[in-house]
Amino acid sequence: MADLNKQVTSAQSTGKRFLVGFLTIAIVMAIWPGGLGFLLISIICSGGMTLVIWLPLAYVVGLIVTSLFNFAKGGHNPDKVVATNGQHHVLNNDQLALLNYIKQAKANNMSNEVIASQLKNNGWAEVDINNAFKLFS
Amino acid sequence: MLTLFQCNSPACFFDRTPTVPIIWFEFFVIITMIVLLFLLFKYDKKVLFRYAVILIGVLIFDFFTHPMWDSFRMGSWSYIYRDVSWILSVNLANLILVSVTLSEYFFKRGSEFERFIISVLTMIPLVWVSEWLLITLGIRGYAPEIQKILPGLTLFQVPIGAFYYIPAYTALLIGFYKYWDYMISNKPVVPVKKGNWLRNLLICTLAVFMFEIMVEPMVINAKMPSWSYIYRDISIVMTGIWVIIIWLVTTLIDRLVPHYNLIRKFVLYTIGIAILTLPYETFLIRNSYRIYDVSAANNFSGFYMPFFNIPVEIFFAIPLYLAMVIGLNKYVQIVLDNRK
Repeated sequence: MADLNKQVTSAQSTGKRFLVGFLTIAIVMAIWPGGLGFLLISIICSGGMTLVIWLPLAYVVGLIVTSLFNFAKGGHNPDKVVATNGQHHVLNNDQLALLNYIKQAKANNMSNEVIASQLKNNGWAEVDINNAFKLFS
Repeated sequence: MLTLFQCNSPACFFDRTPTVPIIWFEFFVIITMIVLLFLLFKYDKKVLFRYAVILIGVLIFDFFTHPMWDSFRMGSWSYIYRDVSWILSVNLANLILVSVTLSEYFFKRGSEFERFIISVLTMIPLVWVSEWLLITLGIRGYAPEIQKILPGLTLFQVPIGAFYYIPAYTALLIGFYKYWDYMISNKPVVPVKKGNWLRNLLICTLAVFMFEIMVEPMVINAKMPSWSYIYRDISIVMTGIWVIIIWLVTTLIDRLVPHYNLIRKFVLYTIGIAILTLPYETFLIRNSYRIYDVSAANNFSGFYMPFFNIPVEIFFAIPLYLAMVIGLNKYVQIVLDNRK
């Protein structure tokens, strides 16, 4: 149930980023004379192919705007907060990358030895790997 | 307002009337897609998702290479942009799905990279037969620029140059699909703390070079030092700058946001690289280092991008082009990083 809630929240935040991004782009384009028309034409005249560019751009713009909003509010990115033994840890990007990899590798039935050796082969220090395993457990 | 959506480009005026064998061919392509997806769905519930990714890759490829060949007489229902036909895109997507599935079935014990190579090699006979059929039916023709560079030798009516051309573009298409397959299959991708920068630079060079081979007939790369031309008019100076931009941006993003998933990283790679390459490409075009051939120029709608002052088609084609190169480049890197 907790996983499902997490997935729903994640889908909502992705949708929010697209929406915020697309609205921001539309507002910026509206400032430039003929900009909205250009946005529309570029999508229709290419048979929708330029959405391959507009949608990722909307996502990135949305990501930037929502991150700035979070930062202004003084909050942490919820993806980076992990609870272990009743305590909340705010992780840095490297720690989060290691933790995500361990979760994914364990879900694919990889052993701790193989995971650790893969990480070592890619330049991670033993202490970082051990800390990530502790956070995972 | 209606005139906005009317196409006055010479590329929009061609024979769309299908013959009976062409209609049968179209029917066959669609039935093949349905049967393939139906059969594979029993074994793999994500096959629709996989097929969608392959089809997006093929549409991107068709979208920016269509000036190089003609796809006529397929009926007005089959065209989505100029002479880009969704039925031909489905046909190529079917072939890719078959080659990828065969390689995964028969080479289960092989490495990921071996399966990739087998898929690309399997595509040569499959695409050859498909091209022969398209030529025989009167659908396929080649732009004058392509005919000019072909040696004149053919095998089953297909120009012999396809021997290097098919592996070049299918490697890009399959690499693009395989990158997204890591996401679809939820395969673990190891984060990299200290990457092998020289190896990654070489992979990046190969991916960009493959793309340059693919689009080389559409453009003339001029005014570069004579020593820099390595193959036809592909210049190591022009290509080298692309390679360095792509390599640098992907390396930086991997280092700065190692925790991002493959979708987020891909979006950042594409936008980051596009921000740097668009002004560079604009400089090349406006100073006549990069000249688009007649067939490509005929396809331009006449709209120019504000500030950049380059045809709007080129502006949008660059990020699409990057998507293919990034896909292959990152896929190969991921495979090598994840070797056990």
